[in-house]
Amino acid sequence: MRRSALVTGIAALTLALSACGGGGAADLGSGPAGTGGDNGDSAAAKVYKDLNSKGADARAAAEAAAKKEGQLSLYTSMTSDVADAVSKAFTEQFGIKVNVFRGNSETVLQRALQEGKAGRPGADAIETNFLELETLGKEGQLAKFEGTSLDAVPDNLKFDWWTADRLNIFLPAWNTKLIKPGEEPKAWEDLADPKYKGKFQIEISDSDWFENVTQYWLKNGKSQAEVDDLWKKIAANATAAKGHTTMMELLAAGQTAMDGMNYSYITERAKQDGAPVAYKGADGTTSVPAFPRPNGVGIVAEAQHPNAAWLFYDWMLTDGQKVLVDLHLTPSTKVPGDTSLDGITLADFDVKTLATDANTWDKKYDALLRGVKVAPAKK
Amino acid sequence: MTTTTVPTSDVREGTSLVRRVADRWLTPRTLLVGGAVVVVGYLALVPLVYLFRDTFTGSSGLSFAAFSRAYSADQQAGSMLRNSLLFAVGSATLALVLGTTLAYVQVRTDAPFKGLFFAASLVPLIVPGILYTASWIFLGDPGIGLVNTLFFEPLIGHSPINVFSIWGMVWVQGLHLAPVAFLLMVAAFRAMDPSLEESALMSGARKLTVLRRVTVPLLRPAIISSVLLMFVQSLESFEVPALLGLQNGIYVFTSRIYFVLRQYPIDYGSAGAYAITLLAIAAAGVFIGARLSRNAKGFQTITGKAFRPRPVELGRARPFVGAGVIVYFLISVVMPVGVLVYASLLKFYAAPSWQAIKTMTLDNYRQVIHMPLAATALKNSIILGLGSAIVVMLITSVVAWVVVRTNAPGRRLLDLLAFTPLIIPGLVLGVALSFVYLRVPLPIYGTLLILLISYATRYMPYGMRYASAAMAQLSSELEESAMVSGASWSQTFRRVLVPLASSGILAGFIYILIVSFRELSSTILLYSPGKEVLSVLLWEQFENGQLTTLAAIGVGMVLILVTLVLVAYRFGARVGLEASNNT
Amino acid sequence: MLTIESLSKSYGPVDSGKRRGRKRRRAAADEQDRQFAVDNISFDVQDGELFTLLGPSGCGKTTTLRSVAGLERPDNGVIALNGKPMFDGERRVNVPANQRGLGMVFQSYAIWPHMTVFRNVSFPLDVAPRRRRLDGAHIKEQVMRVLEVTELAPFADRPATKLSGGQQQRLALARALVTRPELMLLDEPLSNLDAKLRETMRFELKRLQRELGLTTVYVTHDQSEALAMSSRIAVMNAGKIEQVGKPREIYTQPRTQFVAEFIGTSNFLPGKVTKVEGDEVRIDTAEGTLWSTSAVGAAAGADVLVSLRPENLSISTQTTGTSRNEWRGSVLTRAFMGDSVDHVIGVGKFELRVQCNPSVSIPQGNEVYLTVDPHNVTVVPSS
Repeated sequence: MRRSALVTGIAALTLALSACGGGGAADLGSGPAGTGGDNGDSAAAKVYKDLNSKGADARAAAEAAAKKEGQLSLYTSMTSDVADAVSKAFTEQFGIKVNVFRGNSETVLQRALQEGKAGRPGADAIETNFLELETLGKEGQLAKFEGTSLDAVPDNLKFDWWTADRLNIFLPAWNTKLIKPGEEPKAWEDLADPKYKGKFQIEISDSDWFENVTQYWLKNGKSQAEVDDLWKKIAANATAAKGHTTMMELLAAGQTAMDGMNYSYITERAKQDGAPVAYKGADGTTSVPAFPRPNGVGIVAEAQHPNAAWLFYDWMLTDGQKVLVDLHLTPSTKVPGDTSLDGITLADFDVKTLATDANTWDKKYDALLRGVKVAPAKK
Repeated sequence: MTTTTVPTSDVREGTSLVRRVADRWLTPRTLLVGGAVVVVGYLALVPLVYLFRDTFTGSSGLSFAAFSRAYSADQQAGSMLRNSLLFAVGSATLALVLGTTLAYVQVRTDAPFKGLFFAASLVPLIVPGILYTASWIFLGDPGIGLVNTLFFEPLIGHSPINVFSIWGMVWVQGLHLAPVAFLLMVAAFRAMDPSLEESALMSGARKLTVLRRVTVPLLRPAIISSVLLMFVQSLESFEVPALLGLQNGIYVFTSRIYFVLRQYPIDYGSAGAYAITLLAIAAAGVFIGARLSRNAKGFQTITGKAFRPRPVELGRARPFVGAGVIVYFLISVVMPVGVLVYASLLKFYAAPSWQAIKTMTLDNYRQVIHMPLAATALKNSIILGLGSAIVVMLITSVVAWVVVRTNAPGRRLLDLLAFTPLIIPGLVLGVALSFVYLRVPLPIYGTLLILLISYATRYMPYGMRYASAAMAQLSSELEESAMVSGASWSQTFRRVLVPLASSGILAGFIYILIVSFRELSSTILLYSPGKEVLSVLLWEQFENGQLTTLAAIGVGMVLILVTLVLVAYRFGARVGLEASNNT
Repeated sequence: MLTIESLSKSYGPVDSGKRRGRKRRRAAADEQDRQFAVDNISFDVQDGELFTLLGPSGCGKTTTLRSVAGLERPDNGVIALNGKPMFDGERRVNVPANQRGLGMVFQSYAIWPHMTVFRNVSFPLDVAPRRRRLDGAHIKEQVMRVLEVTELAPFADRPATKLSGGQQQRLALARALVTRPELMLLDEPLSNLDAKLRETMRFELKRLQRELGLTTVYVTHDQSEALAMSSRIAVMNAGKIEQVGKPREIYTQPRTQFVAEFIGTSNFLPGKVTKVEGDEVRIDTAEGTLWSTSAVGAAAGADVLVSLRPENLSISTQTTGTSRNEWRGSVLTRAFMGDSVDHVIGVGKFELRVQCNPSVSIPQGNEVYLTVDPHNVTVVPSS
């Protein structure tokens, strides 16, 4: 146990280990893993190809084969109550066990990517935010789905590697005890109104909301200078918070009077639970343009249970839609009994810009928030 | 060289070389010690090597690009550094002052209500950071915080307390760490011969002078080592800065790392650059600490014989000290736990009112019990808690023996290696481990084993601290007498050293058991479906904003941990007794 | 029985293992910094003997003992037990402590506090290699026998920490005895006891040692303990053995100033050997002449120190009439010591301590005659 021996031993061990590491971490972000799914050489790719070509018979074939596989591994950023309900419904319908990894969309992305790059994908299907799905698709981690269930989905919600299964609708929300009827915001511009100073919170990672509102204003005749001025005023009015559900909890408790933005389904469910919150005026409508942010489903190119993955994708766009409606979420297809869009004016959600340039908007939003927020801490 | 590390053997003529080498190296001692050393080196170096490689590897060999990215002007590195240091130094100082005062009162005075100290030292230790912070949000929020609405608002008309500030962070972290300082300082006070102080008193010094000139200098090694521990722990802590700091844009290193890791494409290099800066700051702290305590080598009077110190009579100050103890107990235990219990009984969090009390219900608890994951998470947490406590204490007992009891060359390096994981942020460790074990063809990734590895790595420094303190206290003659009696090294280790060090080892075991239950930052990146643990469940509730369910799980978790700790103490006491009876 | 040859052990800035690879220049520099705890010592211990290593703290006696035990690794030399090498620096032999089969009592007793009295004693039997291990009944029998001998049998089931100091001491002894070792090593076993108990235990130990015929190496800094108990004593100083001999020899015939100073008390007078007539030696000092019949080997012309033990000097107010070894002086101070009266007598510029029978007490200032038997005048080389 001389020092030299000790050191050499440990060094050798570590070297051996990092050699096992192969490619290395530095190149984690670069280059697809080369598993596009249409080379036809992997087992999963064959299954997908086969199912995609079957047309109307595909669902039955997938169901039979998936039952043999027996289980499905799902990575999702659905909140746990939604994820639980979805996986329960799926299991009840097919008798296929669902292993759920739940995390925020960034964690889901990171985990799926890390595993994919290492050639050990743990997920069969992924249900998360549009941006992360776009990234996974571009990184070659997802396989194409072609099934008849796509027919029910509007064209603007179908994408190369994934399909939207639900929409998170961005709208302001307020505590009805603290914001009197008529005092609520009527347009996004109202957030810049000095009467709301210190009264509302905005979520620190909602740069996509920031991007959409900005684009909407620019498209509707505002100049860049006017837009910048509005944001400056909004940032001065707002405090920051993390997590939409946390924001709702605080709103329901009356800690804040208003959420600058929240998902309408979160507000709706808090309201159903008896919290004094609302996102629509007393007449059941709102004039604030609502941005529907798509969340979607994708199948993993090298999935261990490709039939189950394909079945889940298909199911999410058909039977699964009803489960979402029951939870007051907004489905991507027309589902009877869905009232989540009543009284709401939908605006277009800009997936394209964000999918290519999310980082720029992240930085802009971060700078906007930090520029103001750091100031009080410094005094 | 009291106990030589070079294994020696009776070399006779004619024995073959192989045999000689085998005799020399294949002893249980070399195997065990060697094994422990390899494990420690492995656990410590894997994340470290990964970290450095990621940070300094550019497109063309060695590169500092990651640093320039991390410290470019728009990242506000200056204020982050200032916040981190203020937060770490502030919390460590607060915890030290509180912990030392309490330890002195507990060991050395006739203060009343000493029974409260056990709870006051245990409960904040048990309550996970995320819960403790959450309960202080309920208490110290400028808008709805109970301290503001129920105390300051009626009293002075406004709400001066804002927990979402750097001082709020220091306060919560300091209170949360105080038990660590308390436990370490109690041990130091117990081990110190009061006659040293008495002789100063007899020399005519006043009580305060004695404290300043004799007591504090004698305790310096203990003070330095606990300040160091808490400083590094605060630097590395994630929950408090994330929950309290992000709101107002108060970034520290760990919250910045968290942010960097959430972006896509993930800039591992920048995260690594922050982590390495953190490492450097902590290393500087360790270095300064070592320099400061170097002159303290001769303070052997502190360890040794048993004595029963006569408590200082507080006299007229007694009621005031008693009141202070009660206030501390209220602030550190009753208020945070109380508000958790209160919140756990509500459907929606609301300030206390008749209406709120009328709507109280056990629904949250019912919901928790029916949560499909609750049973799995509890089972996994218990497995991991016990598993990592056992693994860490087994390894560190052996390694601590090498470090404390031998003159083995390289033992300082070993000590240092066992210490480094303390400085590696859990998030970074999580990234490193998932990267490595995704590429190791062993069934580790996706199983509980990877969490066990992570916990063993993270808590090795604490295990080392407990084990080496316990070993250092034992007179080496106890070990030597066993050797002379004919006991082999493993017999000596098993039958003399371990039982004698058992109280320290047990304390380490319990500490690791507790902190394993609350580990979150690496778990969040490493757990897999079906391998959830309680802290993941807690985090889920926080992410989903289910603060009342969170409180319910928290209350349940605290109850479970208190039970586990009591059982462990019982069991430990029984083992200690039986060790003398079995052969 | 036990043979020690040229044993050395040093503590330097670097240990011997590391030095091998160093540059010579550095090694030479290190050489100067190195402290020899044991510096090339040799001795033999005979069967049944109680051999004492006596010396002040830091003289290397404990290091020597621990080297014999196998707890320290000497730099070089040979330690052999009944002819079997336990350590041999040349041949790189070093039998580990747990295979030397010795019994040892530590200064702190090193009683294991987590075991009962019985378990403490049975430990050495419990951990014996399987092929030599006794069965439970025999272990019990043997332990109880040792506990009887050490009068601890009634406390067998007590936790070891519940014993008094003297009992703990006997327990440590019992544990060392239980394997009937060939050689017992005792490291200042009585130093933690109070004065009264120490006295009792001293005889107790001696009795046990003699009755059981134990070959023992005993380390102490207490000269009266050494004189009372030992078969032979080796007086050590600064890593070297100054003198080896029977207690009486050491006391009456100290061969160096250190031994004379360390054992008992002595008055030292510088002088010169001026004449050697058979057994009789004449020494001239600054204040007069002394004759000695104990200065064996003194050569004429040598500078020496005359060593006079206070109890060997006598004083009287009247002259004895002999001119040899009678000096005139005056009482400077006196002190009543209980069993004796100490006088300090000024003879010219010398001050001599004289220990008298309590019946003799001469007031300060009186003139006295000081006499000493030539047999009690010992001479050590002047340093």
